[in-house]
This record gives sequence, C-alpha cells and structure tokens, in this order.
Amino acid sequence: VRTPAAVPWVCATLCLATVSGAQQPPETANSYEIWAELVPGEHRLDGRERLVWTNTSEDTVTDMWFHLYWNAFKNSSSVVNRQIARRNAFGEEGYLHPPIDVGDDDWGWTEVTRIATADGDDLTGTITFGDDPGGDQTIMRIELPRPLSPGEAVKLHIDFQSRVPRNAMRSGRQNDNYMMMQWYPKPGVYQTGRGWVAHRHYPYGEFFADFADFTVHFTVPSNFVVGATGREVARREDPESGTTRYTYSQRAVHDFAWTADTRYLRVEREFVPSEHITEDRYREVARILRLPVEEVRLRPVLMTLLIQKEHRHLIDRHFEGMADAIAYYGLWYGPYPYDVVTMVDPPFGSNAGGMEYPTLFTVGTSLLPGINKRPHGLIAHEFGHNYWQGVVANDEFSHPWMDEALDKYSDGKMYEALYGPLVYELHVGGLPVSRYTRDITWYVRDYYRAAVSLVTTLDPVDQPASRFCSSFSYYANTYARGTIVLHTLERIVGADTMHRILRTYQMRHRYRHVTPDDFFATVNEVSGRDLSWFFEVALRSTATFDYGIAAVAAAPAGAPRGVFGTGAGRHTVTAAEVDEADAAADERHAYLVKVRRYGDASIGGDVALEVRAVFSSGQEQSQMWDGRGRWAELRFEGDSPLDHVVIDPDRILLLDVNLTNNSRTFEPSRAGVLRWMNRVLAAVQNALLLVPAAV
Amino acid sequence: MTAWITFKAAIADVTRRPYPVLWLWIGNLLIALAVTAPFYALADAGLSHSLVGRRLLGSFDVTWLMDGAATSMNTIPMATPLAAAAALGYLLLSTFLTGGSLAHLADRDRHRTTAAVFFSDSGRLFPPLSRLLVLALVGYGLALGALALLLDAALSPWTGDPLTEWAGLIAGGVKALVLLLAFSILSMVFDYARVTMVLDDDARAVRSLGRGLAFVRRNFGAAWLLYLLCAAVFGAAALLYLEVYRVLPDDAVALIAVAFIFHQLFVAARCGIRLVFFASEIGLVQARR
Repeated sequence: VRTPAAVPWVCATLCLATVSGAQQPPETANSYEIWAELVPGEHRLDGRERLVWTNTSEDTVTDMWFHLYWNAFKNSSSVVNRQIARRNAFGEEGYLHPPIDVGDDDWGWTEVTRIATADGDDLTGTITFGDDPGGDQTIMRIELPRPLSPGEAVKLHIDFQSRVPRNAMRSGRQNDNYMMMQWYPKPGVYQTGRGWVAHRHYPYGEFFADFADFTVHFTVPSNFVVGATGREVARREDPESGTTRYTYSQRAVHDFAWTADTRYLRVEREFVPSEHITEDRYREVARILRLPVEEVRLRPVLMTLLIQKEHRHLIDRHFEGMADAIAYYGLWYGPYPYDVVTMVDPPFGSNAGGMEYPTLFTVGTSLLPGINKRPHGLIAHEFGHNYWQGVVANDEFSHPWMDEALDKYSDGKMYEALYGPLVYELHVGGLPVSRYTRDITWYVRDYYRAAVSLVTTLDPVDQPASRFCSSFSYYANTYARGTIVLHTLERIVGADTMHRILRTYQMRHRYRHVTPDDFFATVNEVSGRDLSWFFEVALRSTATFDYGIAAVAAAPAGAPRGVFGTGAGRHTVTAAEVDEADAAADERHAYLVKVRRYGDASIGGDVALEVRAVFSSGQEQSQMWDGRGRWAELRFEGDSPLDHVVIDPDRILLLDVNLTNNSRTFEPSRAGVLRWMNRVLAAVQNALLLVPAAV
Repeated sequence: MTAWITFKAAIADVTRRPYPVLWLWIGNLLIALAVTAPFYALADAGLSHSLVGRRLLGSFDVTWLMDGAATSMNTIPMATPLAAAAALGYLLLSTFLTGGSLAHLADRDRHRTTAAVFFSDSGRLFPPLSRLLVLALVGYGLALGALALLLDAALSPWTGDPLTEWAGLIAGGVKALVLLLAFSILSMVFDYARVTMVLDDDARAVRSLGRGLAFVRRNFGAAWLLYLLCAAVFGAAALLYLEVYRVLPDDAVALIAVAFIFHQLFVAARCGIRLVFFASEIGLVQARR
C-alpha cells in the first residue's frame, strides 16, 4: 500500500530546479497512469487510473478527497447549476455558460465503479460525496484502510465510467468534437493543519491540485485527430476495431486534458529562439532583470496547433501569436518550463474557446478576425496561464485574481509592447468597417479602468470565486480591477522593478502552491519597500481611490491695508502703498489650489501624490501631498499666468476611478469637446434620417 | 428603360426645385441638436476645465469616456427613452414635412413654393399620412417579424448545432438578404401609397395602401429598379462621405467648422436623395397610369 518516504528527495529536486533555474520540470511525488477509451456513438468514456499519491504534509492522513467535475453536469441540482440558475434569475445569462439548458440526453457524469489499493483493499464502499443539500457529487471522499504518515504514499487503482456531457463549461462534446477537460478522478490538495482542500465545481475557479507525473493512454476511433497535455510518446492503431491508442506523457503538471475531433487540422512547428530573439535583446532583458545572459536564454518548444478546417487561413496567425507569447513570457518571467505546447481551436458554438490547461489551451477564433491582432491576445493569455497557475499554482478557487489578474496584466503588457494600442472595431452586419474608426484607439487597461469604478464597492478583489456579488463583479474584480492593481503597483515601484518582481516570484515558486502572502513578500523584498498598505486597500477592501483638483483660484490680491502695530509702532498702510504692492504682486502670478480626496481609499506608506502647476510660460512647479486627509490647500506662484494644475500627473495611481477630475485648467478649453460633439451630432443626424426611410 | 428615364427626370426636377430640402435639413438639425445638447452640456461640464478635454483635440482619449460611462452608469437606461422620443418626434416631423414635399413634387408646374404654401400642404396632408404611418408601423412589424421567425425556423438545422462557422455565417447572410428584399418591397408599397394619396388627393389611408400595393404588383420590375437606382445613389454618396470624413482633419477650431459644414452638406444631400426617391416614384406613377 505504501512506499517509503519520498518527500525529502522531492523537496531536494524542486529546490535544485528552482535555484539553478533549470528548465526541465522536476519529477514529482505523485503520478498518474490512466487508460481511457472513448466510445463516441454512446458518448461514453471508460477509464482505469493508477494513482500514486504522496502525503507531503506534516499531518497523518486518514481519508482522501477527489474531484469528479463532470458530475456538475449530471443534473440541475449540482452546485454549479444551482448557482447559475440563481444568477440567471438576476439576469446574468450573458456571463455564464448555460449547462442546465440541455436536452435529456445531454447530461454527463463520472462514476467511480471501483477504487482499491494496489494491495487489493477495496475502498468502493467508503465512497461518499460530502453533505451538499442538493446532492452535488463533484467531490468524492474515500477512507484509507490505514492512516498515511507524512512522507508515505498510497497506490490506488480506480475504475471509472463517464458519460461525456454536451459542451458545458468548456468540457464535453459537440457533434464529433470532444473536449476532455476535468475528466478523471483527481485528488484535491492536502495542506498541513488545514486538511483537504477540494472545492466543489463552481462556475469559476476550477484548478487546485498537486503536481504529478502523467502517462495517459486514450483510445479513440482512428478517424479522430487528437491533442493532449504533454508529448505523444506512443501510438498504436488497431485496424480490426478501427481505433487508435495514443499515449501522452508529461512530468510536473497538476492537470491533464485532451481533445479529439474528426475535423481538426493538426499542424506542428518549432519555436526556435534565435529566430525571434536577438543577442541584443537577451542582453537588454538580462540587464533589466540583473541576471546573467545565460539565465534568460530560451530553448526550443514544439508548438502544435489543432485548428478547425474553415480556419486554415489563420494558421500563420496562430503560430505568430504563439511564438510571440513564448518569447515574451519566456524572456521576462522565465523560460517556458515544458518543451511542448498545444493550441486548440474548438468548434464554432462550443463555448470552449479560451481556457487553459497545462501545456494545452483552447483559443477560439473567427473567420473574420478583424484588424486588431487576433487571436494573439487570447493566445498570450491562455498560454500565459502556464506561468500563472500552471507552474506557480495558486488555489484558483480561493484566490482567483492570483492567476487571472497576473496573466491579464502580463498579456496586456505583451500586447502593448508588441502590437500597440487596440483600434476600435466597428462591425455592420458582421462585417468589419473599422476603416472609418481607426483614430479611436486604446489599451486594454483603459477599459479595465472603467470596471474598477463599477465594482470596487461591490467586492474586494481577493476573495473566493463563489463569494462575488455577481458574475460581473467576479470578472470585473478578478480580471479588470486586479489588473489595474498590478498596473498601479508597476507605476509605484517602476517598470524594471516590476519585471524583477514577477521574474523572482515566478522562478522562486515554480511547481509550488502559492498564496497571496507569497506574492506580497516577493514584492516587498524585491522593491525594498513595505507595500502591505497597498495590498490591503487595493485587494482586500471595497474603498475607491479618487483624488482630484477641486478648485483653482487666483490668490487674493491686495496687500494688507489699514492700521497696524501699537503704541509708537502704530502705522497706517495707505491705499497708494497698497496699489504699489499690488502691482508687484501681479507679476508674481499667485494661485491657490484646493485638492481633494473624494474616494474613501487613501494612499499610504512612503507614497505621496505630486501636485504640479504648469504656467503659460512652460514653467512647472510641483508639491507633494500625502493624500491622507480629505483635502488640502496649496499655493503656487509662477512667472506667468497659470495654465493648469494636475494631481498625479504621471497617472501612477491608475486605480483612481476618475482621472478626468485630476486636472483643472485655469481657462476653459472647449475645442476638444466641440470636435467630438460635432461628430456625435453628425452621427445622430444620419441616424435620424434612417427613421423615416425605414417606414 | 422607363425607370432610368424617370430617375433622370426626378434628379433634374429636384435639382431644379430643391426648396423642400431646406426644411427637411432644418428639421433634422433641430431635432439632432435637441438630442445632443444634454450630452454636450455634460461633456462640457466635465471636460472643459480638464486636461483630458484638451487632449480630445489631438486624439481620442478613452479615459473620459470610461470615467463618464462609469459615473453615469445609472443614467444610461434613460438614453433608451430619450432615443425613442427623439425617433418618434422626428418621425412625426418627417411625416409632416413629407406632405409638403410630395405636394411640391407632384405639382410639376409649380416653380417656387413659398413657406406658407409648403406648410399649408404639410398640415393638410399630415392627418392622412399619419394614418398611413400607423399602418406602416404595424405592417413592418408584423411582416418583418413574422418573416424573421419563419427564417429562424427554416435555418435552424444549420444554425442550431453548426459543424462549422460558415453555416452560421451563411445562414445569417441569407436571412439578412431575404429581410432586406422584404423590406425593400414593403418600403415601395408604403411609398407608392403615399404618392397615390397625394396624386389622387384621397385621404383614405387603407384605400391608398391598396392602390400602392396594386401599383407595385403591376409594375414590380420598374418600381424595384427605380428603388435600386435610388439606393445605389445613396450608397455611393454615403461611401464618398465616409471616405472624405476619414481623411478630413478636425483638430483645430477652424477645421471643426469646416467639418461641421461638410457634415451638414451630406445631411442635406441625403434629404435631396429622399426627394429624388419621391420624385421618381411620382414620375413612375404618372407615366404608368
């Protein structure tokens, strides 16, 4: 039943890999070998699993919890379907896939038919599914025959049968396409003192599992084209049954996904670093990261694309985006840790286009990809999850921002650096007519900023995925606000330091589970500053930042006039003397500026806000405001009339929900507004003309 | 051939007697100004003293739009009734002005139409044209709605569980084409109903609609060709407008004024094209009777 303690050896391997920056994934303490056969006609999957699970905690373990996520699609009483039904009742359909809107033959499930130790102890009778009131079976508990001490391992033999659900939450089938995601019995994570962490399947946040070495043999009809996590190591065709058995293997991943479709085109190309990265680029990155050049060098990666036939004209685009992502993420955050990566273009209408799994991700595209770089951004994001979640593995359910925000920040930086701003794309009848809207451009962070003001008061960013007020709040807080938090952090510590922070965080924690504290500690250590206040207010509170210039006024003119002093010192300042003093004051151009903190959040630590006055001669004057109080009055004097005053002129505090009030010009300027209102007026006039023409 | 000759004559007629264009353009501009004025006031209040507003003269700064959208999220639902009210108001105004325009075009001997005559005709014809408008609204809704439902049902085998993206794209294209064709036919029927109502000086809306329908049925080829000619002229004018609009600079106060004039010229041109529609339909009815 048990193997000798493997923990010290595993730890040594992991530490060595991390410290030396070695790129080969280490062996892990856990392993899976799975045999699966897909019977498409019956939408059935039969599987056998040989699992070695090692107790790497300091506790003695007496039971085990597994994920059986396809049971989320077994009936409408599952946790995920109940939550979706509740949220849809509030009109949130647009944010959720509709797994409960299926026909009677579309339900799917996984049933463990037998589970036993390698020594023959049958544990099937100990199976329970927890105490969910709706009878949810997405997690399963078994009792071990004997307590498992720290460092000991258990070998389990698991037989399971599944019915493949109609595409739901990115898993399942559509016509002849099979997306086999979250498809096998997978243990949760045992943490010292906390016990088993195995979350039921909620609409969001589905990854948290131990790293393991996988060998998976799956059998499908021979006319299917397949792809999977890892590298194909064997293939055996059986002409008699018309099936082919594929074997894929991968070390040090926490999940395994595969897909099969009769309509995939399979294309392979190699990422060759020297074709994408010059020596000068290596040296520049190494200088910024303060690392030897050899440590930032990348290595070849085998890129595989499974693409729908109607998208064959987009093959080059996919590989271009993939290579760009491997190069960008590899240079800044560390070399891609595996030697293979597979992109999957799922069928149209499957709702599966945009999901990450170790070394495999889905990327939905369109026949008409538009003028922005597409699907490059999505490729970067899903590929990037190999870094943020894949090898630096947060509990995605408990802290979803840790991978989604970090990855959105990273892919946004990449898009910005390689492809520039996004162009507003206008479609009429499905056809892109953006030729006429090209001067409207922005970056992803621009519209993410808008989300910040919409959801900050709803939820904090750092909380479990199931606790958000709404689906919109989940997305906007986790992805958008989390990303803007990181952009703000970058502006506080500087871009180069931010690169070093993320590089350190990535390389130090590869093949480990991380918590927010790991990230915060890395930030503080690398930046040399205590930014704990920032994380508390930005990630764990619902207070908004909003600083602004409330008013600007010319300082009161007129020197003091009247009688001053006492006794012999009494004297009178005359009107003539005042006029003379005022003439001198006019040349000073003095102004009073009232700055305000409109939001409830305030900056802290060693951060202060710059208030900059710019005079018409071009002269600039700056004062710092600590921003703790609700308001402050500042005085500026320049050599010419005041042009404008601006608080936080470099937009460091990107979390500020209203940047429009951050500046105030002394004289109004309406030309910009007129320019755009003229365009709006023309648009309204043309729209109005459509009304009578239409009836 | 009749359609082409009629079309050329209509262009010549409207070019010679463009008087109603003025009123159609003014009506359009006034309603549009009423719609945009609150937004201008809001934008001016938020941006005229902000550097963000100043930057709008250079390039489009999305910052203020995001800030504005976020802060006025609760008032955005008010945009729908505002747009509906503007559309309804404009529809009624347009119906009113259509009466004067049709009367003006129907009387080919009339070289000059005074404002008094124009508005007198508009007022006289407003009630029957309004009844026709109600019939048109109901007719469009019922016919196009029913057709859309039928098309959805007919195309569902291709769009319900598509094997490829093409299926959805082609089905969408087919649906759009069929709906466009149906729309053009309905549009002709109601236009000819208006024309016969004015030519026959018959205020009965249902009877006029029947005559319009009968005319289109008997002269479908010529009527549709005429419709396509007018639509092609509009398409060409719109394309030219968009191409010039694309390169027209408006990043200085003087250039904004030039851009304003350019936009207004196009709106006036569209009003003129609308009149050419009416004039050619009047010409066809007169030629085929």
